[in-house]
This record gives sequence, C-alpha cells and structure tokens, in this order.
Amino acid sequence: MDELDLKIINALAKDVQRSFLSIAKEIGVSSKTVQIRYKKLEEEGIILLSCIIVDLSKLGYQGKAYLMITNAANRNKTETMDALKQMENVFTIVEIIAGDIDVLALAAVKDFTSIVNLVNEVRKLPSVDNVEVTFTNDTTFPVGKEFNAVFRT
Amino acid sequence: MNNTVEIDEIDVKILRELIKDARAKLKDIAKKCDVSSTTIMNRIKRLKTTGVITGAVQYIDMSRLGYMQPATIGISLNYSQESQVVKLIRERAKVIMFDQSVGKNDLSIFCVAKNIKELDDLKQLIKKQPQIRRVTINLWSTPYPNFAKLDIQPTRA
Repeated sequence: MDELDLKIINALAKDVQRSFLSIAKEIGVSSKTVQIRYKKLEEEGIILLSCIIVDLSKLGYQGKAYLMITNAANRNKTETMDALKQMENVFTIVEIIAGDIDVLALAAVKDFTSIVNLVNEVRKLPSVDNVEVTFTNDTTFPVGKEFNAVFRT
Repeated sequence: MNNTVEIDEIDVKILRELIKDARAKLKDIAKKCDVSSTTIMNRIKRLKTTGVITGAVQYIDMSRLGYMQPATIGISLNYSQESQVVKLIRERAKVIMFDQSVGKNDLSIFCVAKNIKELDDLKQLIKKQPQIRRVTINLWSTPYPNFAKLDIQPTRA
C-alpha cells in the first residue's frame, strides 16, 4: 500500500459512493488508475466492504441489542459463531480475543418478543454458557458515519 | 412508534443490493430488479429523502492502516456523570460507534486504537472519573458482517 492507495481510501471515507472520476480529479490521476487501485485494494482485503447506512427505525425496527456471550468452557467458539450466523437479524458477529466475554453479537430489534426469542435461541445453544444483553434505541445500521472518520487523515 | 416509510418489493431489493455493495452500479441493480436504471435512481433518491438511507460506510482492514482491530468499551456508571464521561471519551478516543444503552452497560463504545497501551491509558482515564462503577474492554478479532440476515420486508406506512 502506498501514498496513492491512502489518498483513495481517504477520498472514499468522505463519501463512499462517489465516482472514480471525481476521486481521480481530486487527487490528480486518471479515473482508470483509481479504478485499478480500488480493485486491488479490494482483492488484497484492505477494503473489506462498502455498505449503505440504513435508519432501521424507518423499516419498523426499534433499536439494537448487543449480546455478550460467554462460551461453554469445553466448547469451541466457532460453534457458537456458526450458529449465530444463521439467526435472523444478527447482523454482526465478533470473536473477542481478550476481555470478559467470548463472542459479541449485534442484532437489530423489532420488538420485545423478537429479542426475547433471539436471546432464548442463543441461550439454548449447547456451546453457550451465558448471555448478557445491552440495548440501545439507536437504529443506525450497520454503524454510523463516524466510522469513516477514523480513516481520514 | 410510526416512523416507518412505505417500501415495496423493489425497494427491498435495492436496499439489499446496496447493503451488499454501496457502490453497486445502477445498471446492475436495474437488471436484478427488472426495471430501468432511471427507476432505480429515482427510488434511491426517495429512499434518501425519506431518511431510510442516510449515508454509506466502508470497512477497512484496520491492521493494514496501523491499528488494532476495534475494541468495545462497556461502562456502568452513575447517571449524573454520564454526560461528562461521554464528552471525555469523544475527545480522547477514536470512536466508531457510541451508544447510550440500557442493560449490562450504560455506555457502549466501539473504538479503535493503535496499540494496547493506548487502550489501557483510555481505560485508566475513564476509571479515574467519579461515579464510575465498572469499565470493561473487549478486544475484537476481525468482525464477521452478517448483513444478509437483516430482515427487510415491504411495509405500509
């Protein structure tokens, strides 16, 4: 990764959806160069994904839940994570490498019933020892605009 | 709670495509929805003006930019101190998500740091504030985006 790659990442951080042409103009290279570099950044796994930010409240959701999961001592974490991947509205799964829990799952919450059902589903997993929950009424999916700012220099 | 925007099956498809790739080409979305690019453009415009789509993010492999993977900071504290602690963290940490929450944690913060020391300094600083009951830090491995499982259905406002 070089200076030009960083410039492209920074330009995209301001507006993920802007055209290659407008980025090219800003940093003074050809549109084709930006396109090739972008593709390379994707292929090398530096840019992992780009995703729109959705206000879930407009789609009938009331908030988000953080499920903080302690894995059963004699079970593999991947067992829990694979099961979580199949669960409706669990939109991000994170393996914790150091801390007081083993797996963190973020879920979009429609109503009380849906979250009670989800938590029970997770608790039932043989690889799960304990689930603690924190709620927020923030409905930004998957993360807010602040996320991009981290990469801006 | 009636904040919902009316969306139909085509809107659902558009949202799904843009969640998969915010840079998806109008032409490609149009093909999948079996309508014209102009229709897609107008529909995206509407989804933006009605506040369904509020922006876009890109996930970067943090380790390639000299950061550790993100960490979650969970804080339990006395309510009277909440605004001061929020201000402090906003000033001192590279925050990627900040939620005032209920349940185990009163504040849930996702942030990135260059190294463990930076993170620990932040933790110690938070702990020093009055009326803090508990500060927990959980260090992430690479997060797994499971966006396809978000349930989006056509709605009637």
